[in-house]
Amino acid sequence: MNGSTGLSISGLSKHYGSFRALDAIDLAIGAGEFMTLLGPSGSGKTTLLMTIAGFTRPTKGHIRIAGRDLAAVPPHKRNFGMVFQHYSLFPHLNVAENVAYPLRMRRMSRTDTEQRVAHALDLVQLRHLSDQRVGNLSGGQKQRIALARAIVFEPDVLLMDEPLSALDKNLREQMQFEIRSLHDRLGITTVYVTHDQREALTMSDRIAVINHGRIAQLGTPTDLYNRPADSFVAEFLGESTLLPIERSGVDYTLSGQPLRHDHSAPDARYLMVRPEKLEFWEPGLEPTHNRFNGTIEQKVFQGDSLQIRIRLASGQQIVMRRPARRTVLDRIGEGGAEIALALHSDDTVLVPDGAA
Amino acid sequence: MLQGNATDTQITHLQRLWLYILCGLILIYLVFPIFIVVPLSFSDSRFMRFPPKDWSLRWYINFLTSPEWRAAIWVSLRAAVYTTLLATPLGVAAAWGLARSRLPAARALVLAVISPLIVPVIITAIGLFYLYARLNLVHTMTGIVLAHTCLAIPFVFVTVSSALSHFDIGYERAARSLGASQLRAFMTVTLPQISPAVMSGALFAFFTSLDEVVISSIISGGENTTLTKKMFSGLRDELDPTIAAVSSFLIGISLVILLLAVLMSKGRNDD
Ligand SMILES: Nc1ncnc2c1ncn2[C@@H]1O[C@H](COP(=O)(O)OP(=O)(O)O)[C@@H](O)[C@H]1O
Ligand SMILES: [Mg+2]
Repeated sequence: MNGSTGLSISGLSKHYGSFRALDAIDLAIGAGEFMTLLGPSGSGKTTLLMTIAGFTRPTKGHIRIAGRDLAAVPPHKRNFGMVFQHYSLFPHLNVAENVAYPLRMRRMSRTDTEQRVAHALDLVQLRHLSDQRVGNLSGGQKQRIALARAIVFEPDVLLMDEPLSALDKNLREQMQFEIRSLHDRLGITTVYVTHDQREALTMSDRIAVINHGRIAQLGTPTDLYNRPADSFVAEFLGESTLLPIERSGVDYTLSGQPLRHDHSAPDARYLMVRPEKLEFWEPGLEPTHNRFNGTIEQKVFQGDSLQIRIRLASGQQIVMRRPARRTVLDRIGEGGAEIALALHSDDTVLVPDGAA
Repeated sequence: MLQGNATDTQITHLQRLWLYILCGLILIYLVFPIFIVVPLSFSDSRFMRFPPKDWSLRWYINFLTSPEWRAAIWVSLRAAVYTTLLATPLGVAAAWGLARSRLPAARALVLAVISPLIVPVIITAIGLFYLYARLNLVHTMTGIVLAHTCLAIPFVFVTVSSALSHFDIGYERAARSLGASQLRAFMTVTLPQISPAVMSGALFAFFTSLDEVVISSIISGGENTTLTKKMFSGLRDELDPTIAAVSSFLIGISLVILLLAVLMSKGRNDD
């Protein structure tokens, strides 16, 4: 299955009346890449996936695979595997018959079919369920069978629409790992839709953040987390505090205090602070860090870590997260105590306003 | 049991007695004709008198040995089978097409498909008669089957549409993503899952044709005279218990077919 093909999307739009569900999407997905479409509900992720699959006709734009335009290719001839949120296993067929279905549609010989089905079921470790009715399976088993059915015919691209959102948290985390390792073994080009930012960060090679039918930002999980393109991405991905900043000449200030920062975006409006990037101020941090003074307002114990809400001298609230270690606990005073914080200039991220 | 303890919000069987009685009366009313017709058919008398004094099978023998009656049975059964074979696929196709259609006119088309249910049959019958006269279809099997198919399609359409409205379109999508054309997805995924509705639609079609009187009276005839037409003219000309025997025979056929259908669907659910 290696040497699978990449997918290129250009100027893709889908209008429903005057509403733009997709608005001029450009996206190149590399061969063997795990690409995640991440965005809030209603942002157009499903529409984009369904358009790639061929179930929704775009108003404008092109989708190409290996240079070939897919406009005239119906869904069943695209050779794309799909996994849906609600499994969509066929209840009148048993597990093995479900997995064999795409091979039956391709009129594959019986011995080949049996071999491939067995192999696909081995990949999801459910071979022993071959003869079960699908109604008897648990949610996790159903989704693994659906996955086996979607890869058994060696599709060029694998499309998944929130495949784990019906599962409970523990199972979801385990399946994230399984899907990703299956992807790594098969090297199959994958487009994965989710509204869960943690899931996107965990699984993806690259993430396209979708908002109002447009790509708000495209990049690796690290890029998106550390260098969000605007306030929407900053808030949507991970925890963050956004503090309004002012511009004075070429520099930016927070309540009059000049900010030391390594990366400046034009038109920055906010300072984004990730809670875990804040440190306790030490003498000697002066050349590389910004210093913020404030008072502790609230401490919240969260098991592995401690969330500390701090009111800055300027009146704004900021959130800090530290591991719940003895040394940390000892350093933090009670509510009302004064505290000095440090933020490295590299972590001082200034972002423009993104339409929420 | 009749007066068993009940909490404030429960209703005792005694308080509900009037419902049981009403229900019983309605059931008796519904099957009452059978209790008259079936005994009459076993009467020994030449007249339709109820209750019969003596019993015999002479009217069954009369009916089953008469070439005319036998021809009529044959015509009716053939018409019913052909109608079923024609109306079922057409009704299913119409239901599926309109269920999947994104045309704004789809609702209007639904009305067109079920219009034979709304238009009085006598109007349809007279209209068809004039049309068939031009096409030389009066008194032909083709004519009867086409007319009955018109009447039967709405029944198939309605039962199958109702099943499709509960059917998740995601299954067909999944099938298509796995390499099935739209038609193949329907045949291999949707149809097996809605087959009980298709079966009941087919049964409706069969009985619609078998029981149909008005159109048959007007456009069947000659060697293609249906059982219902012959019974109807029999009522006018020779009022003897043969009619009761024919009716009982029809009731028998219906019961057998219904029982078979029930057994078949049982067998499917059990495996
Ligand atoms: N067939 C349709 N007709 C009109 N609006 C639609 C249709 N399908 C989707 N939409 C709209 O497009 C937007 C994006 O929907 P969708 O792609 O399902 O979002 P997501 O999957 O990101 O939650 C939503 O606002 C939705 O209401
Ligand atoms: Mg969606």
